Amino acid sequence: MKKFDEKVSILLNDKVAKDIYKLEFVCPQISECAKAGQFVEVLVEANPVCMLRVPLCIADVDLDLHSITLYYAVVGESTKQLSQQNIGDGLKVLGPLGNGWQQVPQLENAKNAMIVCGGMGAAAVYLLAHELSKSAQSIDIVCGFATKNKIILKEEFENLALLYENPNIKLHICTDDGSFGFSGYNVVKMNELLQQKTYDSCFVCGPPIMTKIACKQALDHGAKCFASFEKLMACGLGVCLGCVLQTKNGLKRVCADGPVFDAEIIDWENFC
Amino acid sequence: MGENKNVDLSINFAGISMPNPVTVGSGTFGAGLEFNELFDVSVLGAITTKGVSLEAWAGNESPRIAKATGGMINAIGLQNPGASYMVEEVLPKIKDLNSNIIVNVLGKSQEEYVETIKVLETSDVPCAYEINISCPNVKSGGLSLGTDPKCVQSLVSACKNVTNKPIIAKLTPNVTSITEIALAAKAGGADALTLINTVAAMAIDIKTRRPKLANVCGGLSGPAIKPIAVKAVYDVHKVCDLPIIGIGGITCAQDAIEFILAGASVVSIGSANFTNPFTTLEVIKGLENYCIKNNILKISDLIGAVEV
Ligand SMILES: Cc1cc2nc3c(=O)[nH]c(=O)nc-3n(C[C@H](O)[C@H](O)[C@H](O)COP(=O)(O)OP(=O)(O)OC[C@H]3O[C@@H](n4cnc5c(N)ncnc54)[C@H](O)[C@@H]3O)c2cc1C
Ligand SMILES: Cc1cc2nc3c(=O)[nH]c(=O)nc-3n(C[C@H](O)[C@H](O)[C@H](O)COP(=O)(O)O)c2cc1C
Ligand code: FES
Repeated sequence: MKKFDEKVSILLNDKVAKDIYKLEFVCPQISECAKAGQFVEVLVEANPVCMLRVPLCIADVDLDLHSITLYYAVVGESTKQLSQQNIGDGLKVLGPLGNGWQQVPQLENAKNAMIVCGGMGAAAVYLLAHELSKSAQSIDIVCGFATKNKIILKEEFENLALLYENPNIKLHICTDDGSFGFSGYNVVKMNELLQQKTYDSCFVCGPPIMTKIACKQALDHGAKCFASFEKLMACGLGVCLGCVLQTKNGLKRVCADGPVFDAEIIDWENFC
Repeated sequence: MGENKNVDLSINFAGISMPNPVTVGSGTFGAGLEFNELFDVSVLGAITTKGVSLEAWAGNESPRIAKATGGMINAIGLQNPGASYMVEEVLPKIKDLNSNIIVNVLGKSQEEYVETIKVLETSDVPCAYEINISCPNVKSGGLSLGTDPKCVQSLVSACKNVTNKPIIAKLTPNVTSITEIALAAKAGGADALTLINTVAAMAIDIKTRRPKLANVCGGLSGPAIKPIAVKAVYDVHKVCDLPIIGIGGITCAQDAIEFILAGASVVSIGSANFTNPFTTLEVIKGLENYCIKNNILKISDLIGAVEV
């Protein structure tokens, strides 16, 4: 698979929620071959003390502008540096990396699908929601956030029903503190939905505990289930073996074999 | 690339003829296939593969990496699929790269190193073996072997006995006297040395009050260790005439030249491949430019040329 290290110039780097930024830049080579669920590694060049790049999901691609959009939470030094970059500033971006949702055979077969995401996981499933919208009969998108002012991509997900003229594409926002939408964890809402309807496929991305519970519920329900995973990464290319995940088929590299894996093969006992 | 016929970057390193003096740090480049999707890796002087042992090793638990100022700490734990897999699945694939392939070898005992090399000898792909007697990550292995001059001498000579290919001993900086270890490797018959492996290190998450690595400790690499590595090369080159691969924190041609002036014949790029996967290419180009600017006809004229 082709990968590129592009010098990009920032089109937009805006705060869109509490400590969360939306970043957009033109990258003709990466945007042209980027697939849903893949990621990039971003290098803030003004930062010589930190060697490692920041892995971030490709949240959206604009083929007309040749740009991609990322959403990132400011959690430490590199993401803080990133948030201080201005329009026109340069970044180096390596990608597209990993095997995203497109490797899932279930994508085209999904009739009644559910997407469960938590926090920044929403960014990893937005393009997936588009892909599924092309053929699925119904999609329930269950997004969990800690609190109201951390919600991202709400309008974008809501617009899918209009865009694909399918009222059965539904967004269910949940907040842990009850400040917006369903009050409580998204996996509780997920469980409610699973009682009401039969789903054939489920797609998951979020914090480890959420991912584990959501995948377990989906598999118990009898649905095919795929999840996107995060691990600390150094190379992002599959060479350093820093990001491995224990599976029933041995250790797999999240950056190169994943980040999307069939939930069936994960060694959940030793997961978290 | 603007070829300048007047600059000769080529080098004969322990009998291996390299188009330029640039290779890659074991464990930071896989076996070259992943990077070959980014650029033609055959332009490198040599490719040094991830370490391989007799049987497969699972490596350490996660987290295996932690950030550090000017570098990173790793405790991968030398995960590898074993020598037979290497010979059957990996080496045939990289044969087509038409590069010098240096295979990095691991072991928990002298016997394991020897047996690993015997398996690798069934392939015609390796041009040399770099024996990692220095990895600080595996509790029962590396460190103890690489810190005792007698063990080092015996290990190197046992490895020499089972191959005609050059043996490059890769040393740890985590010793009192690296020159003593270097001389022991030479006494054992080593053809060359690689200096240095990672520096023993630790990082603690002050929120959870737990070590950042599952293995508790790991090895520091990156620009933070460069001055340590330059001194190791300088010290060893003064007392030992074996050719040296210099490695530790190199991110650009200027860094590489420092190592060469200190006594390295070849330079190796490790963690910098993660920050910028094209570092090796930029170093090769930069070496050429430096030579042009300074009227140096052969890069080998710079080896150990520091004036003290
Ligand atoms: C494939 C992949 C895709 C990702 N996509 C996104 C995304 O779209 N949006 C987003 O906001 N974040 C995403 N992340 C996480 C993001 O890469 C980290 O938050 C970022 O690297 C932190 O860098 P920092 O220097 O700011 O923080 P640091 O100081 O390095 O760390 C701050 C805190 O975040 C934790 N952390 C750091 N790196 C990771 C990581 N890779 N995974 C999980 N926790 C981490 C640390 O343990 C620490 O507690 C993704 C990670 C991966 C591996
Ligand atoms: C992720 C990682 C894996 C490594 N694996 C090996 C290995 O298998 N064998 C070995 O001899 N050295 C290994 N090393 C050490 C490097 O080859 C190199 O000696 C060290 O990182 C210092 O160089 P640098 O600062 O340029 O990274 C590894 C280093 C890193 C960062
Ligand atoms: S981050 Fe290096 S192998 Fe995945």
